[in-house]
Amino acid sequence: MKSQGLPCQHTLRDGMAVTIRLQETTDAKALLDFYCALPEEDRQYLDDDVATPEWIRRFIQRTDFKTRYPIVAEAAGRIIGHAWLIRTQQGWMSHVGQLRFAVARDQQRKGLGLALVREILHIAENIGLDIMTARVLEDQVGVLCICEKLGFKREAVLQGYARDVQGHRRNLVILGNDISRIWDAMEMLVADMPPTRE
Amino acid sequence: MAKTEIRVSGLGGQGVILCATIIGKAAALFDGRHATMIQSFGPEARGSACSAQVTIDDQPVTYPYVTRPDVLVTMSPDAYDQFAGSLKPGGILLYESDLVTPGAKLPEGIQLYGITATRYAEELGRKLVLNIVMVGFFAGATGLISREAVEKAVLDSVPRGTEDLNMQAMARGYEQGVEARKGKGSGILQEGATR
Repeated sequence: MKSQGLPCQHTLRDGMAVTIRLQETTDAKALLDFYCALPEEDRQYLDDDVATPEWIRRFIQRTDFKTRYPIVAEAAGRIIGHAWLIRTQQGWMSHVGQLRFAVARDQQRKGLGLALVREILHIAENIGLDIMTARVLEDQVGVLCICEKLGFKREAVLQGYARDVQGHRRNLVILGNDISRIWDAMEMLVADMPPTRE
Repeated sequence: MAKTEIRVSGLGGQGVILCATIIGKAAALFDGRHATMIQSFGPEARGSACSAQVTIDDQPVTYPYVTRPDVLVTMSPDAYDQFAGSLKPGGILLYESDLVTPGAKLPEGIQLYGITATRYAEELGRKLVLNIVMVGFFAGATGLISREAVEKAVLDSVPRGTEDLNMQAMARGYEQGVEARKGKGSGILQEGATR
């Protein structure tokens, strides 16, 4: 798959240079290292047991750049961030994509999550999706902040729908981003119409 | 800083009014100065001549109309033809260098800074943000408003969800503006960030 703008260079807030690129089949080992290094409390936010060779193998096998579009952030030969978009090609939600992403603990709060989600949104636009969704725990404040900065809105809060590693039930926020509409308001703003015509 | 008169001009649909609004907002709300803005439109919204007049001063602005601008921002050939001659001698012309070719009609000693704002906006993925590239270029090239104030004014003005790309557009324009300003020679017919 070719993606507009990828690979691209990104500089984190601490000055570290990062390359964001599409995931490749040769990334299996680096991805496993990345997920194994994630603390358990970070891994609990992901749907699967990602820190297993089996999951990585299946994930890479299923990557077809038709229904699954993963990207990685790489610095000094190490993967420090992973994000992907999932969509279905048929059915009533074929215009909707789902966002997933994870950032290495030592690279959080440096703008990497924002950069990864931004690239996923670019991919979503390029492949013609209308809406992106994400599921986030209510107390994942940093993730909510990143998503809301990029136009996601809270569509619903499902009370107690998530359970953490200690077995506590927590609220799940469903975020939605109508990327087909997001620029409509900007178009109105740059239309240069007199106020009476608005 | 002395009173500065600015005219932003172009075609309807290029975001001329938003560009002027952000410049005025940055000065008045975030740089602690005084500013006024007056807008005028052609008979049609999209594609017709459009301009806005911004005045920035340390004192309250008592007369908001701009007749001899110190700075002219122009994004279309028609706007250039219409307003280039009104620039104050020694003033600054900021122009979209893929669309405007400065030459005739300019008074003496004008500093020219060009930027391929439309191309930058397209590279960022949205032609719509060309006016925000121009806002950043204005701030960088003239130094009349601070980067921090422009950032706040952009964030305060653009729709939710578009902030990120608009900030990238602003930053791209600002950096090119600073580079153009650094390269200032005698100040006459100085070509800035054209590529």
